Amino acid sequence: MADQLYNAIFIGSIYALFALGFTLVFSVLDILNLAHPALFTLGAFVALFAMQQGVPAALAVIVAFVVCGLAGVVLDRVAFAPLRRRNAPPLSAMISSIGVALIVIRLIQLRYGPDLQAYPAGSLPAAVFSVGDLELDTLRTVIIVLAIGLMLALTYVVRRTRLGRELRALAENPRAARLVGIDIDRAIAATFFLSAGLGGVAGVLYGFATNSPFSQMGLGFELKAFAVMIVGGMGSIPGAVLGAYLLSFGEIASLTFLPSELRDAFAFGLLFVVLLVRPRGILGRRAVDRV
Amino acid sequence: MDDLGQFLEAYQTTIGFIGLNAILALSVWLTLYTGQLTLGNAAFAGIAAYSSALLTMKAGFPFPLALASGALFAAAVALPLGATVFRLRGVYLAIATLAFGEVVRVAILAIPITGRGQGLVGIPPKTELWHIFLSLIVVAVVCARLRQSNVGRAWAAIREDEIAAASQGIRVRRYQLAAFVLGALVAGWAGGLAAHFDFAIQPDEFGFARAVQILVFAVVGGIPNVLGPILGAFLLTALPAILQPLQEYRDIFQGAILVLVIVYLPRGLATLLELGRTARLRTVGAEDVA
Amino acid sequence: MSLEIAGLTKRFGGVTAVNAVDLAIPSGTVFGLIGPNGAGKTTLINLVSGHFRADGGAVRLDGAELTRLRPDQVARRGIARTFQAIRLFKGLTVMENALLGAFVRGSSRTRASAALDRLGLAGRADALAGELAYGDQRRLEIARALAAEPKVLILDEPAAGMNPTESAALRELLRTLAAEGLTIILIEHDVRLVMGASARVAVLNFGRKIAEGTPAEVQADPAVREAYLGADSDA
Repeated sequence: MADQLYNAIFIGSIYALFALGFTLVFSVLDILNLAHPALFTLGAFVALFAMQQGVPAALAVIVAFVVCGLAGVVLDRVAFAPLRRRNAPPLSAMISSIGVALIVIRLIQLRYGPDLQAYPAGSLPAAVFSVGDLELDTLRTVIIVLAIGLMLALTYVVRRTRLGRELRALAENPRAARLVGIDIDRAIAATFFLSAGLGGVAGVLYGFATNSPFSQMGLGFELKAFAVMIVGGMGSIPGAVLGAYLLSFGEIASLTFLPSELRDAFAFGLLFVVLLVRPRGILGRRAVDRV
Repeated sequence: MDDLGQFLEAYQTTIGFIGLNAILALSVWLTLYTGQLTLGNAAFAGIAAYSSALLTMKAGFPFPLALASGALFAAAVALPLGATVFRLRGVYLAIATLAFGEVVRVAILAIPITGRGQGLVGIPPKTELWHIFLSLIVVAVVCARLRQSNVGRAWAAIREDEIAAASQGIRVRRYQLAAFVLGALVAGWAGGLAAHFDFAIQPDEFGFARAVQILVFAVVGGIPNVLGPILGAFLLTALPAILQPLQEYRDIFQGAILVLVIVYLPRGLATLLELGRTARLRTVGAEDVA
Repeated sequence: MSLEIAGLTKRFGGVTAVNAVDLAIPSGTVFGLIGPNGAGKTTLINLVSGHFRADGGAVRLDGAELTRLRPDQVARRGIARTFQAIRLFKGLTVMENALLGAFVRGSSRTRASAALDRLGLAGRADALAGELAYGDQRRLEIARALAAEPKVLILDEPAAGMNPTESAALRELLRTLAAEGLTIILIEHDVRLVMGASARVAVLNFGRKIAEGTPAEVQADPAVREAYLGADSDA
């Protein structure tokens, strides 16, 4: 029981990190970046690549963050910025991001194949320790701490730094933001760097925890992230965190009455129920209704 | 003579798939024409594929009836899904159809009668090439007629500006729902044909990758008219078949062409047939929506 | 036939954009609605046309309740409008825009052509709406609204960007339409147009109605002058 709670916290933290990336871009730019899961996967594989060259795990996480962050900035320049310049509808951005995702995933597959991979033997901490009659492992504990730390760091950036203020202004009213002198391009680049970086880190951490990164790992997570965002509220950062833990705890709880193959069905069920009953989600503020 | 027979048979399969892909591309076109993104048509095709196959295999339905039943079933599922989601902003449709696709896949894997992961085998191969191409012609003509009618004009207005469209008295949600359900019906019909074309079907054939693929056909071919999706399906199905050695890079090619088209030629390749109008639309700033 | 607005209110967060506004607009009149920028005129119009949901009050057309109907429902009841920032279907042709305007009447080509004729646009039927000059685009928006053969026509700053000849022609058109029985609500900053075309004028400021009467009465009202702070909007 306690172990299940621990697992829920662990899985929820990864859901949150991943969903936060989606949410950041959605809240600032009003687009759903469907290449985000590809960046998640990229993170896991960048770390794999680095570690296969002998880079220690901790450093590999940082490398993944930076590489994915930069990939996010490039993604924007190539797939989104030209569309923004001519005021294309959000539909175009979504389609464009699908194209990028196809390319990234296929490139990963060409290098590593579609099967499950594994991180180099001995590169990940395998230690276990006990707290009371709980058996915990170092790896998951570190991941939880790191994930929560990143969430706190993101909250700090959004609430207390100048960049955060700029992002919030941009989300609120892009035209006014420009008039007030905010460097829109820089702010958007920062948004993508953070979003993709977090997504990449989520990928690494998930890859570490399962020790089986594979090229399609992003798809299943993408759907969980959608459930997280819809439950928590699209465009809401605290909502993404709340939704993530609600989902992870809910999934664990649902195992008591659902067979394990249908565990994923819980997320979908939740997603559709929320869409029916309260599409805004718990903390969502953005208008959801079609005019 | 045996070699020739084998060659024709392989050739026949590809031609069949080109036709099926064209029908599926048109099914997505309907929703894209109203300015919405759906990733659910592969799932609708899958629902109809399995149900029509089971009807012919287990319930002795005649082929046309099974096809129709499968398609209607898909449309019937699309109706409540669409009704829930079209109340909301566009992004929710993308999310909901993506999630729906996964739900269908999980359901197929869970229900014993579908053969689960192994797929459904031994489907009577009733589909002939002429079935496929006759269907394609009918669907294309219907779509073209709709496009030029008041309905199509309303769809175009919705795509350009939902608020202004509503002010003209257009029930935006209802028109979008109609396009979506009709798209599901068409996708379902294609799914039924596909099931009886190749003896067996598997859940993977109707998953996310397939949904993306038909989206690529429609977008690359072009949304402004009915020829676009057909052209896109023809090109992007035939080309990989011809360029067999480059099979490995197909996804990269499709992804790249998708991005290039959306960024540089948003009205798709079909716009190469009407460069003048495209240029005018570009000056007017309406190239993405008209 | 009349449009009745009773105690209509709209709040956005802490701001009351429209505050218990009462208006009674008889049919066959041009009714002007003026006020400084931000006074709530467009918000009021959005409430009538169904684009915003009222927080209080009611809108009635010939006694029938229109409050809280969706925009398409309001349009089907016979209210047509133009927008402050032109919302034409830029990628569609002039004729297609007019046909869409006639949507509630079955998109009849006759009605569409007639509306285009009235606004002098029949010759540009095949041009893309976005290709028209600004003043022509304004006229097309009006034509599109007229194609619906509405009972009430709401015009939100239709003369913005028009030269004096064009706005004089518009003034004449409005008078003619009103004489034919159409009810017209006209939001405008062009004082000559509003005072010249309207039979009655209401003035909004900070969401409240501060004056109402004939153009002469309103122009003489000190409260109105104060609201505009002496700004000369007849540039």
